[in-house]
Amino acid sequence: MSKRIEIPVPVRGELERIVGARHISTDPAMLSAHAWNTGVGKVPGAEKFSGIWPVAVVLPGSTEEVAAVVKCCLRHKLHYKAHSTGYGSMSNACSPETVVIDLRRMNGLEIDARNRMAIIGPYAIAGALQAEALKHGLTCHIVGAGPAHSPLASATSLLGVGVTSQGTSMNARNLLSWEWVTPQGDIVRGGTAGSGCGWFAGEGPGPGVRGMIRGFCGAAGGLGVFTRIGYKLYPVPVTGPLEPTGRLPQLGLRIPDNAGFLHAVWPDWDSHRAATFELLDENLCFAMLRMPPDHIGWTVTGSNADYVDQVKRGTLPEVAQPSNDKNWTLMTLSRSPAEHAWRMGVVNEIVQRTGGRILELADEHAEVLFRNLFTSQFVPRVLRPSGGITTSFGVLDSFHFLPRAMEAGQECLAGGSLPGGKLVEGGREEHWSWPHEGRYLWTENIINFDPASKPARIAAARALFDHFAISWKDPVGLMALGLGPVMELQGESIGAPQRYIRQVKNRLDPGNASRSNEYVLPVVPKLVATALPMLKPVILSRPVLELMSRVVGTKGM
Amino acid sequence: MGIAFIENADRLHTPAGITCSVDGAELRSFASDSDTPRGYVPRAILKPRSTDEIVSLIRWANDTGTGVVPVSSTGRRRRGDTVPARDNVVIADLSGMNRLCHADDRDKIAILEAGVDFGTVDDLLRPYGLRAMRPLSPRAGKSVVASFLEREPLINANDHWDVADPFGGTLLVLGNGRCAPTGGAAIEGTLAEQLARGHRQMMPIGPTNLDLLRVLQGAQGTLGLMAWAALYCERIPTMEQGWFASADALEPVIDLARELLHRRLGNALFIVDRVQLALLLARDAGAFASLSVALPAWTLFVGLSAGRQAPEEKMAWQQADLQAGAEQHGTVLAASLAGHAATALGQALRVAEPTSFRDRAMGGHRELFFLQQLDRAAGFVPLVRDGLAKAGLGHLPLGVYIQPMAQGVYGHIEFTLPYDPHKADDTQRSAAAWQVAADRCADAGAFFSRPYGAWSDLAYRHDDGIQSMMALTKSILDPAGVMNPNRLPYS
Ligand SMILES: Cc1cc2nc3c(=O)[nH]c(=O)nc-3n(C[C@H](O)[C@H](O)[C@H](O)COP(=O)(O)OP(=O)(O)OC[C@H]3O[C@@H](n4cnc5c(N)ncnc54)[C@H](O)[C@@H]3O)c2cc1C
Ligand SMILES: Cc1cc2nc3c(=O)[nH]c(=O)nc-3n(C[C@H](O)[C@H](O)[C@H](O)COP(=O)(O)OP(=O)(O)OC[C@H]3O[C@@H](n4cnc5c(N)ncnc54)[C@H](O)[C@@H]3O)c2cc1C
Repeated sequence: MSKRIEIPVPVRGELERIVGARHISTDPAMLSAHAWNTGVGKVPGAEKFSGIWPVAVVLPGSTEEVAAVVKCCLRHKLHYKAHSTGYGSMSNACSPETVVIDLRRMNGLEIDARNRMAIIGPYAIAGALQAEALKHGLTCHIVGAGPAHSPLASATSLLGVGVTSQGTSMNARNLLSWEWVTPQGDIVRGGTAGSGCGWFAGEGPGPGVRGMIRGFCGAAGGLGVFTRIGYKLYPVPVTGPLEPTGRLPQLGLRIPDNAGFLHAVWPDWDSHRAATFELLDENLCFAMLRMPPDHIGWTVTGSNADYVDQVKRGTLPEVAQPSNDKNWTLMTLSRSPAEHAWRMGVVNEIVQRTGGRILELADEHAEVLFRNLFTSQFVPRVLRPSGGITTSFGVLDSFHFLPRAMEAGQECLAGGSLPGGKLVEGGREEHWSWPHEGRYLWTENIINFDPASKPARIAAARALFDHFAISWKDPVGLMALGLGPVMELQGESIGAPQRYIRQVKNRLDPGNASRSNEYVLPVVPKLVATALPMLKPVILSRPVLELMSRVVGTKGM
Repeated sequence: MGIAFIENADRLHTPAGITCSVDGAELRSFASDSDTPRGYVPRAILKPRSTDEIVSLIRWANDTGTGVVPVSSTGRRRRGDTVPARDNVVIADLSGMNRLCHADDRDKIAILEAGVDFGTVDDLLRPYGLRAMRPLSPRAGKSVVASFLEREPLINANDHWDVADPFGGTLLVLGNGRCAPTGGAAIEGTLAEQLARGHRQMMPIGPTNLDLLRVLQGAQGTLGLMAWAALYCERIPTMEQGWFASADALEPVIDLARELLHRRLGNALFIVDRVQLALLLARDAGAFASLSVALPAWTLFVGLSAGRQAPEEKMAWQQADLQAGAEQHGTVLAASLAGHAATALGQALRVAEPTSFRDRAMGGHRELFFLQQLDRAAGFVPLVRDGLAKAGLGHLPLGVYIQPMAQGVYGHIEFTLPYDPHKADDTQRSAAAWQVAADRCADAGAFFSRPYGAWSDLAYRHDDGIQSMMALTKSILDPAGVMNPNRLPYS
């Protein structure tokens, strides 16, 4: 742990006056909960706790209190970091003088059913939002983090892709009007809320300035604090809670009337792709998800021990068998028996005609997989085998690239996930893929490793770095995960977005008080900025990649 | 980059190679439009033919301190956004950049240059089995790209997920003279190289922490120009039919629209009152006069379509569901009204005419539009009607058009006031009454997301901090302030 800084008594007093004495803590037990090093999406070091602990945690109860806390931090040269649910460790403090602004008291959740939207605060979690929305025949987009994450954090500050993006888009497009405490502590309302007209539209009057602070990815705590948003919801032909089935941990959901749920497999990627283009036609499916078979195995088994046991005994259900890797799990939602018959008839016909096959699913498996697709509840089981994952590729392009993505995923894991490899044993590639809005492909290759083992961490880091080298050599489609420092390497060849982002950061937050490691580097010396793109071939050479993997695997990232 | 200059008669040194007009009549034609009687006469009209030429034009403008007003459409203009608001300005006329660069029926996406207009776009796309998504009956010379850049609402309400629709990736030239590819276009290589590798520029967002497409939308050319855009298209349906669902009151029609949006039923969907529908259907003043009494008070137009997958079956359940929904919400479903078939209207909406349909009946019109949620739309109608009556203009017809957007999260609410521009009294009084109507709507919660002309004062009257974000944006993307100067309140 880095040297702890004590918060000066008068500063603590000021913060107490803003949020109330009950809502501030400097107790190490409390601070430790804001310094847990899960490293999701990264490669953590061996330590369970982050090297940096916050100087204090405050729990404001309103936008005005957030603004006052930010101004107080600025006055006293402290840093601050927004924290919605803290699921993953991206909300951890990035400097020892950071005050974590834990937003859990700001859990406002209001459904505007007629206009298919909600108005939410940072701690309205996805599971609660979905439960409330379902009372009105609506659902919400839930990213892979599952029901416990904050849709506001995702929509304003992170990515926002998720397994139902086919039917529920992604959060950059689900964000409507927004309320924001700028890095200087000013309150800005974007779109309709700014004009007192409601929370339904985020752009205007005039230009959509939101595009300066939230692109494909948000600023991850590097640009102040978002406090309230309008959020788009999606109608489903279900009202009220779905009926649970099964027993913990294998809870399922009864598949509602006029819903189709099936799992199809194809003999090769070309026929899988041909089928995909047709399945995207006319919004046949509400959701389409390709999971690697081993991940399906984790989902349909209640524990790692059960999964391993079934692998050894050869009793895994067909759906989780490695040979059935060219798959789609398909969910259709219809409002009438006639519509349902059309959707299912067409889906079946496409599968047959393209050489695919629909697998028989036991009810208990179908219900668990249905729950997973409808609520993302078991997606976080990607962490179950080992507790450590990072992810790669993040392709957003035509399905044309799907076969290439699978090949590249295999190249990047380089057998590390096969028996004897240093990663968690699984398949040749570990791609999760789905479409967005009936249009383009999202696919990411999960790298699963034991965070307690240094060789495993090095292997994970190597796979992560290799994927850049592989896809820059022979592109796998537009890769959206090239964020932060990667943009310093790539940006100059794609219009230099990092230069504009850096200007935004430095103009809005000249002292870098809203400190985040996941946003643009605020300062890059000119010489470095010029040299980096030229050094790309060197950086991507085998010896340098090996060296970087060792450093990251040893020290953590 | 070295730029050579040629000298024009009025001693304006414009970049060599770019077609330039300094024809007096042509220049003066840009100093006004239907809504803006007086602006500044531009010094020249520059007609770039490629992205490189756009870049040299903007760099030249930066070097010389010349303002640039981008224009991509042709024909009669309105709303004032392309009338120079300052002297020492040139027009960047992109209407000659009108190529279809690529189209792909598998991914339902096409790349269009900024000058492709609604009059020709479907002809260009037809060989690929595609057609463009459209606003309500745009004029033929209206640029497709400029239309969506200005967030003109689509009648394809179910495909309008977000304001950025139907954009995929695009190529921008910012006011600082640099190219900025957005979304799926932000990838290495020239467009030709990208296409050859299989990229289809399908992502509307990004790259990384930036979304400049969203920033430039609604900017009225004040931050940069769009050279080309990948746009999502509709696959040409195998079967198609139109329906009218009508009622005496607006609420049932909105309730039905909401239900259809929740089911994602209908490839086109919009609400009109009898005057607006008469404007759409009538070819002349006589027909307009008789239709505007014969038609029902409120009508929802629904286009149903089916594609390649079991089309008859799909049409059958869609029709049955539409019929049931129409009954449930107390509307009357009809295939035709006053002798006009809905299917024929659907087809007519795809044929762009040189002048706006809103001018057909009386020669001119005023427009007032803003955003609000659909369940609040009805409240604005009496506000505007009463205002007109109080101004002694109760004799003028008032059209209402409501376009659900973002799949029904909110709507574009538009009032059309057709009038005869030769009647000086009507013209003058309606101008004043119209501003009052805009004020009253603003007080009642109208959101002027596209603040043209005088609406700008209404839109920016709240101090919500957004203007400081606008100033920041302008100073980063167009630091010398060359793009459409004085058009929006940036400082
Ligand atoms: C996304 C995410 C966010 C998280 N955020 C936080 C957070 O904010 N704060 C926090 O404290 N934690 C957090 N965690 C960690 C999570 O709470 C831990 O998984 C939990 O604390 C369990 O500890 P563990 O991971 O070490 O696993 P465990 O299953 O507890 O295993 C730890 C070790 O103990 C052994 N073991 C387990 N049970 C027994 C037993 N009964 N007898 C003997 N040996 C046993 C195991 O074999 C293993 O070697 C997060 C995890 C994730 C995935
Ligand atoms: C197992 C797992 C799977 C995941 N799968 C996906 C996935 O499929 N798709 C995807 O997009 N993401 C995924 N994520 C990441 C996920 O997006 C985030 O964990 C979550 O959406 C953000 O909510 P949170 O409550 O965890 O935010 P936090 O952890 O509280 O914060 C996340 C980041 O956002 C910042 N932040 C939070 N709230 C605010 C605010 N109010 N204002 C400004 N900044 C703020 C924080 O500073 C931090 O940098 C996954 C995470 C895990 C652990």
